[in-house]
Amino acid sequence: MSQPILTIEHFTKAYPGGKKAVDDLSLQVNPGDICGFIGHNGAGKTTTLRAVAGVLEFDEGEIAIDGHSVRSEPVPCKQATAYLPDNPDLYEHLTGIQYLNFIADLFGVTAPDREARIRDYGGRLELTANLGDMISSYSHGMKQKLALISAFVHAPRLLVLDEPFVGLDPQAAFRLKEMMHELCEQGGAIFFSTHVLEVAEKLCNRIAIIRRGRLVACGPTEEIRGDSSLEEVFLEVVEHEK
Amino acid sequence: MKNKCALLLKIQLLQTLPLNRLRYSHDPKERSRALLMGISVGLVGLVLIFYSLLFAAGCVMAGLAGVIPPLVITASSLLTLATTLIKSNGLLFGFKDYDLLLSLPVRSRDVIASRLIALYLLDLAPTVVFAAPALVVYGMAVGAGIVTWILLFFSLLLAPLLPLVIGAFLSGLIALLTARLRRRSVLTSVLSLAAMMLFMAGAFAIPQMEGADLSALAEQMSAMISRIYPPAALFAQAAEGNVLSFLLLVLVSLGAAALFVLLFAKVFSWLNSALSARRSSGHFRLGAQRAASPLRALYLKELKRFVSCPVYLMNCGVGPLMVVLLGIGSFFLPSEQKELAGPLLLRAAPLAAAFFVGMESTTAAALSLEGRNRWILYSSPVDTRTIFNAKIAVGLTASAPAVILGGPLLALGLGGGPVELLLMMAVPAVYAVLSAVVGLAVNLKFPNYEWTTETAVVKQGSAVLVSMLIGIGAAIVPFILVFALAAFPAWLPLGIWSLLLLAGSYAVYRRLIKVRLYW
Repeated sequence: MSQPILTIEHFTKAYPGGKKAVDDLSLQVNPGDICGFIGHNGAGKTTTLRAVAGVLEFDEGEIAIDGHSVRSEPVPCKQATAYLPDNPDLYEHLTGIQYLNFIADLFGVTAPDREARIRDYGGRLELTANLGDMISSYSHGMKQKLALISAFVHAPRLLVLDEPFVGLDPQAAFRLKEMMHELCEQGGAIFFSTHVLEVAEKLCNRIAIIRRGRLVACGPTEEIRGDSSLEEVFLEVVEHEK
Repeated sequence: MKNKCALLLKIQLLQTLPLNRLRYSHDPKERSRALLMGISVGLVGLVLIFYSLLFAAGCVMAGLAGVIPPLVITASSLLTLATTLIKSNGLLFGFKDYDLLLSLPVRSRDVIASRLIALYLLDLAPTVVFAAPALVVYGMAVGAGIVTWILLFFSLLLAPLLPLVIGAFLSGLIALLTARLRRRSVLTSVLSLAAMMLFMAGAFAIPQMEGADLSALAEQMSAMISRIYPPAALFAQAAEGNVLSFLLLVLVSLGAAALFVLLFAKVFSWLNSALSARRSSGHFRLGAQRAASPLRALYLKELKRFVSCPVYLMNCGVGPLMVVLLGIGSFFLPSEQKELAGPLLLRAAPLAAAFFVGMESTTAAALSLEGRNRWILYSSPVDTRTIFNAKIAVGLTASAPAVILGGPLLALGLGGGPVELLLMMAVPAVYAVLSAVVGLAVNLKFPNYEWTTETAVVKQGSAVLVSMLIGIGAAIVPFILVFALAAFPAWLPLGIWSLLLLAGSYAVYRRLIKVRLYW
């Protein structure tokens, strides 16, 4: 069995005052997995995703990406990861293509590779024609599409997304799911949060449910769901934990 | 029912000043930052009061008490005009919460009036701090009666209003002209900077004054000041107890403000819609792309940020350009004055240039300006050293005109030799490095990522204030040394001080690059 792409062990994040946003969370994401991370508002999803992306400092536990520790080897971890927060704020003083080239330069993507990927993903998400315009002129959906292209342009091993479908039109949402499947077929993995349980149910082969900072369920989607819908399971788990 | 203008003004002031943070924030770091900002502002205020008193006392001793009122009012008015030119875009119009605000049951006039009043109150504070001490010295020197004191007090309150309206009008005009253009951010920045430089050049255009007769000199100076800023004449007459002049000043100031609010309300909606309009042309064709190193990519991104943000460009770009202006101006100094004061000026000039360069660096706001975008840098596979090197490089680029052009011009204009030429380039260069490195360190210590307008970070941030105080302090010490050690050639104390500053900058840099950047 191949090494997990993402390993989270006993991850705990407490904020000043002692309140724990995440408490002793452990899970693994293997190559080929699309892992849906679901929970109520304030459950600790964003905190976990930020810690995985190396954006948030933490003291307890360990997070490793492709065998590299996020704490002691942040650069190799970030090289292998693409992270998008929810409602990603982009550099509005740049044009779309300038932003993509900027990201590609930071990740060391060669000129021919970036051109081919921008052409591919830009075409699929129907944004190519607008890449010459200032990001400040983009609608919310266009910014979301640009952010997604920037995530895929450097062919990451691990995609960490916080609510990636918000703001996308149905066609773009369909294309994104295609792109996600392709990435996993090529040996990558995806760890993303969503409130849309129907999407998680159809797209993900693994589900992790978090409540008040603690992982309350984690496993293959069929096992988690059983004979019910994911929505019913989620509500039952959340009610039970009360 | 509460007055809506007053309600809007309250919200505007809460947004601009750290009062709410001090009162309600549970984050001890945020509270200490707000407190530090207050202390920094207080220190700057003390420095202003000190210089104001010194200047006024000097004028009185020279028998030039009569020029104090028009001179201080002109100086503070020019400053108000310059800062309004910088702040208006983003505060008076083009602000991020425009949609939210205008969806409420408020009139455009109320929104404009509340923001103008907020700007006025923010400008009133430094005007009073700078001008009041000098005017008190003036009043005591001329034995002012109760009427004169009353007129002085109310004239001082009115003083920022007219330059504020002029600055807001110019800023609005520039925004109107560039609103529909593609590269409007860059154009707005450049036009605003050009407008400010023109004002500064005009203010520094000192015509030759003749005669040793003090009263004649005072008259000439007053006439010169009135040419630069005509309302100063009204203020000067009001300061002599002329009630009619005071009433005219009231009429002009309040009338201009009321007219501005009424006229601006007519274009307010159009202007804000044009500024926020999304005009994606959709004609791009993807061709061959070029790769660059992470450092180059970060540097270019940072440079574009600097040039495309009017308040950022004007705040950090004016200082180095002032050195160039001074350099050009030095060629037009009358030859008698050059002969008399040349050696003194040559001794002080490197530090004057260093003062302008060291006072404001792009790096003091560079991290804060990442704001809600900072996730991009934090999640990228680039080490802190590269990120910081790019920001420092932009700081040095912004200072370059002072070092490469201004310094040599000053040296040549003042009749200096090779040593003076070297000093005039090396000393500002050292201060450019100091302000770039220390500015970044200060911003790391006192960041503000939750801003809603760039002005809050670039002009009002505690990091910028602290950095400015350090720059001022670093320029004052060698100034004292150079003149206290007048027996030694200037290059000796300046050289030793510059080496110390470089060593200090390097030590700060070594600590900086070890920092890990987190949310």
